[in-house]
Amino acid sequence: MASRRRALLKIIILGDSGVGKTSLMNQYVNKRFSNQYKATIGADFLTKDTVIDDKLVTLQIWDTAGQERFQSLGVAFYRGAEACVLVYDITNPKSFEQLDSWREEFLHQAAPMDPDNFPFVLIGNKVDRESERRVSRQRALQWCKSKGSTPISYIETSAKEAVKVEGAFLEVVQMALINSAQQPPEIYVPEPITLSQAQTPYQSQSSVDSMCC
Amino acid sequence: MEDPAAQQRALAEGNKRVMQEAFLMKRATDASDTKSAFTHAGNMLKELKTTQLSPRNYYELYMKVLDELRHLEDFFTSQNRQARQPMVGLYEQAQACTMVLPRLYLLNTVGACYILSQEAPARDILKDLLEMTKGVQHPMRGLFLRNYFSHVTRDKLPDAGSPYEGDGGSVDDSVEFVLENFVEANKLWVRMHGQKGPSKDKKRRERERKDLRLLVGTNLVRLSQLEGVDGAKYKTDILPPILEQVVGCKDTIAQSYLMDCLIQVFPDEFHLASLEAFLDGVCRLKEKVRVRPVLESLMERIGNYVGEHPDALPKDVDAFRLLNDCVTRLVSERPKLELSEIILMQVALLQFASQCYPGRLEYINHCIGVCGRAMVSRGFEPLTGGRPARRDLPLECIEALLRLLSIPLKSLGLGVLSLAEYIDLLHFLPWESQKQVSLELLRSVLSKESALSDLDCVDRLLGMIAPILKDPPNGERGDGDAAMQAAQEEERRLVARVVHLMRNEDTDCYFRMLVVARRHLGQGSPSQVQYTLVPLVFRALGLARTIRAAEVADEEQAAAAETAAAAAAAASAATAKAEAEARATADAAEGGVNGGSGGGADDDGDADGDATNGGENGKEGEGGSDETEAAAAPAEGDEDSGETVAPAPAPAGESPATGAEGAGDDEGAFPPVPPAAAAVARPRQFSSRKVYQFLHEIVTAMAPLHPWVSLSLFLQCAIGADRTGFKAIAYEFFSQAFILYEDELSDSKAQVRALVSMAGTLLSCEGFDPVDYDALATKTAQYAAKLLKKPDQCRMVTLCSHLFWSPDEAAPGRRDARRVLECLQRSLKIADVCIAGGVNAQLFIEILNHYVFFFEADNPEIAGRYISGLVALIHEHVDSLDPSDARTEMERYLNNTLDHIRRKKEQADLPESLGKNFAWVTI
Repeated sequence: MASRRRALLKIIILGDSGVGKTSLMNQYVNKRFSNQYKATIGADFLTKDTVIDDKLVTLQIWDTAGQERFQSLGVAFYRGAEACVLVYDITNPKSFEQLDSWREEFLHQAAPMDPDNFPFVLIGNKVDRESERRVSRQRALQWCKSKGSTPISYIETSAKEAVKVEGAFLEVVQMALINSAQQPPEIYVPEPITLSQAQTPYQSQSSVDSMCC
Repeated sequence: MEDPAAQQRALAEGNKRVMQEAFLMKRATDASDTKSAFTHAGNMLKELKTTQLSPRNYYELYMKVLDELRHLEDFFTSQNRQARQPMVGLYEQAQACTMVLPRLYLLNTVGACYILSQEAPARDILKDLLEMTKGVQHPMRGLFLRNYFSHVTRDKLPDAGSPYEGDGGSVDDSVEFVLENFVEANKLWVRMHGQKGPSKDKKRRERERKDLRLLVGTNLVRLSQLEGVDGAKYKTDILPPILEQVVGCKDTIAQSYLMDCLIQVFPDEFHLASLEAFLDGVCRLKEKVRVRPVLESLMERIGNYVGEHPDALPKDVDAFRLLNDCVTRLVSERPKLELSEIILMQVALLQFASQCYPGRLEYINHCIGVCGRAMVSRGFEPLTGGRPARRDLPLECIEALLRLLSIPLKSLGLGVLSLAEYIDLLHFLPWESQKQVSLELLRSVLSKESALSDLDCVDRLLGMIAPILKDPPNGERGDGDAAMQAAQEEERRLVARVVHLMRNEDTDCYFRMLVVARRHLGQGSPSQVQYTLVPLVFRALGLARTIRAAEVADEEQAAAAETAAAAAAAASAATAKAEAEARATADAAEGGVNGGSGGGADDDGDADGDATNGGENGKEGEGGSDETEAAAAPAEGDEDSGETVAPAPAPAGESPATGAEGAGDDEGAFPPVPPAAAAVARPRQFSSRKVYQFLHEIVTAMAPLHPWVSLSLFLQCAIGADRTGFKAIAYEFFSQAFILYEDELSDSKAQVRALVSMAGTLLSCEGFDPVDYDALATKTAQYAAKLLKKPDQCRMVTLCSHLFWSPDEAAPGRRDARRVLECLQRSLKIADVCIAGGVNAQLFIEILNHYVFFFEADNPEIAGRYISGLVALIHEHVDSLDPSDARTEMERYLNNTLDHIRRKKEQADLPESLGKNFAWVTI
């Protein structure tokens, strides 16, 4: 691949409804935070260009609906992700307890080549509400340790006060870069081409097809 | 297409061709071959023309294509930036693609890059793209294409603070474009409803159509993301066209979904600002649309928000009124609305009111009232007076009502008792459900742990929990399985705990509360009262103590005044007595003191002999008549002056029994408590004596059904009376316990337990006159001697020996060495009769221990030789036994006892030893 081209990375953010997935993404990409709660329906994304180790990277960050009823078409957008960010709310133990099911659902649907080493990052959001914390750091670290041979990175953030959001995403991007370098998502070997069968230019290719729509 | 396998094959093939073409496309971009890149991208996009795939599978293929188009976007942008290739040229090149669908995808891809380059105003490009997108009218393909438009232009819409604002357009342009995309998408989606096809596939088509809803809703998300939109703009420019489309499309599925989306994706402030318009839209939805969930989620959302930000509620918006008007309108315009839906709307409204308008009781009452009227209008009626329901309330209505009734319970707790309509609505529920609400009320009261000190409140509370106390009207209260019994136990426990919450500094008021509680609890099922009345008895005993303490303080004050007066006038005893009488008469005249507190009190009056009616009358017709009052009152005076009068040591169960029965019957309908006098510093209305009378009545009423519990309670009352200086009343309570023992306890185990209690209680009572004490102790010992089983007899007679040897040396008439010995000798005789299985040896050792006890306690009748003789006797008995565990056990017991005696003997050598007598014991 030509080096002038940027690396395109796809990152998925998962977690229960209301933990702050959209806010984290907005804080990272737009440096904005809003107290207004707007539910995400289906999936939405933002892109961000960034430079990591002198390398130009375009991130496509997918934010997802925490409420299942809003995923009417399924989660095909998990596919091809280079990394996954799991988010819970440190003031909401239930959102922490759901992490396993989010992780499993992701691995099941995205079906990465090497699920055991797929890069996850865990974010404990809302540290601006430390006094209401109901999930200890220790418990979160324990969870991270229990998942596979290499522990999952754990970062505590506040999307509201922009605490460690940048750092958390930097971590994600670095892991995603390593992942995409080690395992190209899909290895496509083109079928052998016989020299006599030249490619037809598309203008003249399929006049029949263009009849419909 | 239904066959999943065929679907999967088609998807796999599509995926494969997409990968193939994507590979070639990326190779072309690497070589900066724009033309070839377009060609392969076009070929890849051709796959999206398929009609083979279900929406979900199509979505999967679409996502794959989207992933690949990212590379194309990246290529165009770098061509533009690095190779200085103008975007307009690329845009034109894309138009050259002959296939409509691929061309439009390509145009959107390039168009997005074009906007990014800012080489043309965003507005113009967006307009152009939308215009061309109309070319696809196939619903599913059109929906996905429009979704792609929304996707690539996601961060390229002119908006407040975005780089495309200004020359590129304004947020108003963006609103217009997104709204247009929304309207067109919705039209495509709604059109699917009318699609022809085999009717057997209808369900599947419907499901697939529902799957596609996301593609329509995404447009609303886009609108909600525009920074330049505030509540005012939302109200004027966004909500009205959306509602117009939603209402106008006349599609049930679309209407339900889009209303839900509106509520979820826009922030709370927007909803508050535009409530009226939104609610009007709700009312205009098709009748088939379930409006209740829509309103429910709106109210839940706003309610939570306002609950957290109380200032968020605009001053000029009466949200409750608007919501209520909407609900009222819906109910009147939709006659088919089910009753449960109507109630559930009120549930949501009530929840909303309690979050947004806490403390507005009229709102709560209103919602409850609306439900009550709705019930009546649908032909249901409250279950009062134990009538069974004419028509069963549907289950979902019951559940809805339970939810409704539980909301004010949480916020108001006991406050619900002041809601006029609350109890009325409760009565529409079946018995079991009423019980559920009652239990919840009790839990809420208990969780607040605040004392119950208001008479009226106690009255209403206990009235409301009748379903817990009473048996259901149809009489179906089986004792049931373990789970049911556990539930009942829990219920009784809750009631008992609530009883313990009652208290009041004002003893008169406190007493009235107990009386009211007694009335309610007493109406409970017979099986319940033994659990619910017990705590009441203990509360009353506590109250009696409190009142008595106050009375003693009053009396001491009065006595001090009297002494002063006596010193001055050289008063005689007769004068003092006259004064006592005068005081008592005054008490009686106040109407508070009711002397009919049972035989004991009357015995006093009788012996005193100066009562107007005398003892006979008292025994025959107690029950709180004014005459007996007068008779009892002087008795109190007598007690105070320390005069002791021996009550006739009537064989227990005769005259006191008649008295008690009389009291029980007459007082079954307890006289209503007179209203509290409003006077400042009024005299105490209810004396401690009155409380004992109350106790007497409660326990007597329970006695026939629960003799064992009642017997224990009588003994408790006896201790209470004794401790507060009412020896005659204590005597009466004892007599009642004896009557129960004689008449109701037939089980010998229960008899033994009762005797232990009676002996223990008697020993701890300190105030009895010697004659009374002797009568009670003798009676107890007689019961012991009459027990059915010899070993029981033996042990209880032994136990009763202690009744004649008070630990307190100075207690008058409580030490009779002779009778102690008689008891022990009698028990030895009984033990001698029990020879079966060596039981007697065991009993002998037990008796020996008692001998030793009394010997140590310096009972002069217990001679050392008795012990020596008994030890020899036991040895003889034990030695005759065959070796066995029982024998080993007995030997150990004996040796322990002997060891004790030996130790005492050793100590006997010491001059100051208390056990010097042991020197005379030989073993």
